[in-house]
Amino acid sequence: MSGIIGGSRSKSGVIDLINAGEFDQFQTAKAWLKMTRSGNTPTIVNSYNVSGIASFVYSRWRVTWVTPFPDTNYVIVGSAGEGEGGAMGISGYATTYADIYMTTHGPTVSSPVSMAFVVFGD
Amino acid sequence: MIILYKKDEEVGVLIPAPNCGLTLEQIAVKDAPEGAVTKIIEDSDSPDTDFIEAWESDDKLTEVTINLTKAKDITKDRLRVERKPLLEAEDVKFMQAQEAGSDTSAIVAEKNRLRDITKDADSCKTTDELKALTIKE
Repeated sequence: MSGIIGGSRSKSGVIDLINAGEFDQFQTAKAWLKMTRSGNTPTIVNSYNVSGIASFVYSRWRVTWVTPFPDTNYVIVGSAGEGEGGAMGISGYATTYADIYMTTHGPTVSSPVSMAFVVFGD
Repeated sequence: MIILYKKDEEVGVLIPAPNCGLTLEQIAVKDAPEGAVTKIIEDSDSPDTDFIEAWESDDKLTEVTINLTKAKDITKDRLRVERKPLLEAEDVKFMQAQEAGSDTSAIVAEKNRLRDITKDADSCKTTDELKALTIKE
């Protein structure tokens, strides 16, 4: 597989599997992340092969991998929308990181919103 | 703990993943932009991330402050996004009222209130005041 897939809001998607703790579904994953945000503050709930989240623009985050992937021949399947709703997208990716975003929620929104994704590759 | 960084005029924050096997110092070196200055601080000492694009600091990250002018622009952008569906709904109401020959003055007043709402940001003196601004009456 190659390229990036994002933006799914399906409740039967990746985020539901992660929420359910069904990590055995992702045995072939290169990385995964579940995070919440309150305003623009991200909190990492659980992760694999993720070293951190960098933030310098509202609603966009750079997720970095502990172990870089040998190439960009990978697929990200992500989901967002718990709480206030919204969708996740990918704005860039490389061997060491992926830039992700969630549709805008204003600073007045204080309820945590979840987002999760899994990275698959060759 | 979190990691602040500054590279040129960009000030940002790194949120380390717990139990990733790397130390904070290793994450700072690996994930901050090349050549950036970094500083590890307590989570509770983080500047307000809702205005992250308005963060400013000296080159040593001694203190991160929020540029209020930039914060006002960020707030105006937020209000524009939030009011867009409401303005569109008022436009529909306006056309329907015109077709029915009804009074449109209340609709016009609401449209004007929504159009002018970004001006409220100009009089704010703190980021708390900016965050409290809402499109609701």
